[in-house]
Amino acid sequence: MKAVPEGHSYPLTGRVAITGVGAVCSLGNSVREILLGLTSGKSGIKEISDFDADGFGCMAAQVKNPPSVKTDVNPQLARSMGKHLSLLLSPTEQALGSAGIGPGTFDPRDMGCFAGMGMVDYHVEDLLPAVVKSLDPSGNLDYDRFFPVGSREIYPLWPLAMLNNVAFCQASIHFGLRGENCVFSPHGDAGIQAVAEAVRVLEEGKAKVALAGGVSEQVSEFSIARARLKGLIPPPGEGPENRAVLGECGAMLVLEPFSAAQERGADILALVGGFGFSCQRDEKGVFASEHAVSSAIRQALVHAGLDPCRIDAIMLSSLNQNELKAVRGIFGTDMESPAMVVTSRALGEMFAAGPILDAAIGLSFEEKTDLAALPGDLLCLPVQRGKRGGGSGIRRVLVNGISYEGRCASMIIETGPGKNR
Amino acid sequence: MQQKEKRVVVTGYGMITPIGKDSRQTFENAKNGVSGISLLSSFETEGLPCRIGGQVDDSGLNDFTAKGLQGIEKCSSRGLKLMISAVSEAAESAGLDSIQNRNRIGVSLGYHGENPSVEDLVLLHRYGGAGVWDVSGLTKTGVYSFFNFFRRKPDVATSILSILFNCKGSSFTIVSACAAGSQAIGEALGIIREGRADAMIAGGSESNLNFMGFVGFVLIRALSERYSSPEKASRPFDRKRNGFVMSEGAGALVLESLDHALERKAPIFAEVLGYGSSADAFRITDIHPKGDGAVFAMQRAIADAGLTASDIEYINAHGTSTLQNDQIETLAINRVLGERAKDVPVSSNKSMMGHTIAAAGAIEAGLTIMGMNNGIVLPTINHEFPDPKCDLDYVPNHARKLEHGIALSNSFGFGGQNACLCFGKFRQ
Repeated sequence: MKAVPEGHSYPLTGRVAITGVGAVCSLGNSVREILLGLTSGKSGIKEISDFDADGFGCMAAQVKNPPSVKTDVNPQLARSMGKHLSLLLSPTEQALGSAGIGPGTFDPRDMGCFAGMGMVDYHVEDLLPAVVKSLDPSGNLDYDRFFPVGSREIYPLWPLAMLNNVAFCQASIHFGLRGENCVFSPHGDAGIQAVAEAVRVLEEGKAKVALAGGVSEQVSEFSIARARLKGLIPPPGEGPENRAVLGECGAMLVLEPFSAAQERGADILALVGGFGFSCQRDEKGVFASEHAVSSAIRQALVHAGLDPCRIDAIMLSSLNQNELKAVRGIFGTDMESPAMVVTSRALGEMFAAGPILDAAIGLSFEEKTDLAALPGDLLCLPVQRGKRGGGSGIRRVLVNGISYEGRCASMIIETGPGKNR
Repeated sequence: MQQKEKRVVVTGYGMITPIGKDSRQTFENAKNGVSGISLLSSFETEGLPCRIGGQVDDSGLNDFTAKGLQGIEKCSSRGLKLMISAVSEAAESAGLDSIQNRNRIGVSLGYHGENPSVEDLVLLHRYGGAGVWDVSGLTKTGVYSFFNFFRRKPDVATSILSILFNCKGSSFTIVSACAAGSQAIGEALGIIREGRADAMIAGGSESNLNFMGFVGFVLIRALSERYSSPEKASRPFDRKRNGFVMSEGAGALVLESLDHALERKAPIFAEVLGYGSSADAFRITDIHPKGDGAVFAMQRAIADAGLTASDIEYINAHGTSTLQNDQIETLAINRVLGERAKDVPVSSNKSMMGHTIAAAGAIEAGLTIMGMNNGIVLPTINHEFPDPKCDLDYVPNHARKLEHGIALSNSFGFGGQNACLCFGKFRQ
């Protein structure tokens, strides 16, 4: 195990606590359900049933029946936001509930909200009539017909489906969140950016409580096509080894200054330890490079003031080789190394929601949790049999969020006394 | 509360707008009240109720071929090209190349990616007969380039900027509609204060002047449809305003911790004193009728700067030229400044440039800084018919000489996200 790396130190001046969690994904509609599903060897990856996906020949980890949250949102707007809305509303409601926060607990202006929002896509049916009406007899688009006539068939609110801050704003409306806010997009690093910014506004005293979370992409024809053309998911007939499967997820954390949370009697589920960020693509131009991932992890360790040996578990973003090399370079590969868990093997690639869900799962590991007993798919050989996996307690968890455009982020959380209540 | 030990300064700025290929030209034209709004030529507008916009002259865009960056060309959206121009200017003025530790430089960009083109729709919606549309076919045939998707992803531009300008620190994309450019600057400010970076490239970019981008706003009737000439269409705070004018452009600042800037003897153009954001939490399509969100963002920015409302000497308004925004922003400014409201000049750069959406906050931040350093308040042109509900000093039609040292810049986004930046003339 290697020593603390050199680096800039920017210690948190006060501690920020996680007091609430909420999540929805293919394995369940709460963190508890999801954790139970994972530890019992279930996988959320199944045949796609929401739409005709025969031509794609792939599977996905979809949220089949997202829990509905009663809102008075205009149905047309709700349609524009699609599954993004329910993937955001339900975890937020859960997180606020688990933190014991209801209307009147805080002044809405003191409630910040930060989220990483996955890519959104327009609805085919919003634009299709314009194309249909403009086809010439041979089936090609007649531009002379499209511009003056066909385009009138375009659904006026179609652009809302392409704005990934709209569902975020609707959540602000629904929960009355009027404080500091920001939306990052669209990959795993965006979820961690959201947490980092929430911590900062709490540290600066600009909010008394802040929600921070993420939402994945909705699995659709577009998201699959995008992932396939990028080479993230394999073509039909090829095995999925070391390739991604798309997954749907929404996850949310409630953050508060530690002292204030204690004062109001909130359960302290975890403390936020530190962050690190970097941006550098690998030679193939697809993933963050090993150097970038390593830099982000080292920054997070320095930020948290921790030696690598103090990390008990690592929630890997994926089984990408750059990430694995970086992690092994810092934490080693011996039996003393932290256990490594990769939930995307069972839950799919959840983009901006991934690290938030991983953080929620990481802080839910209990003292007696034996990570070595997790299904083999979720553990990264050969280190899962290390001492950390054998019931010696999981206190500090490193969570990675890796982008497909070179960006990467890491954060460290430390479980708190209230997590098992 | 954490002490804001690190002062953050602006060491570079750049922009490309409908009225200028760079900051200097944009500022000079704005000072002279030149409008950049014209009949659109970038796509067919016949039959549309709005046919105008603020187009950027392509001659101001980077020549990728000449710079040996042909590889970038195929995956570059127009928005990215605009942003590269703005960042090039900002980086050069800041001497960004001279900074050795590139791991401590980040990129914060407000950007939404490119709209699908009409051709994209045809390719994506391959007709399979009998009303069946074979979207999955696009991955089989190879006729649809991944780069079409690539250009739509909002984070691609940020990553390419990070690569081109060799910035290996924190890099992220913010998507908050018209507030994105300001939020990008505000988040960069926080990251430097916190010590996560020594310098940040921060800004926003927008290119919606294509058929699919434009027609959405036409259909929801957000754009100005009644104008005697294109140049007269954008008229913030004027009684005859009737919608905004869509424009394209990009703006960038280089933010840096004061210590870092002084150590490397960088030029210092202004100090970023404060930033505030808020959510209306009212309706997706409407602004809070009392301007609560706007009020809160401005108050937060002033408090973050350690100032009071009485210190504010100029406000660069969001001022879109829509009925709703201009009236409510006026109400909000009255609420924040109180009795002083009518004595503080308020102007809208959008009267000359139109609304550059995600770029607006960054461009207007740059112009606010230039105005402070030149002792000039830029005008609100086309202010011909006073609106009794808009009762502030909008610096009508002509720029004004006025030494001022502290200014706010407002940006309010569709959906209800609000941002306000507070800039100060640099004082040691």
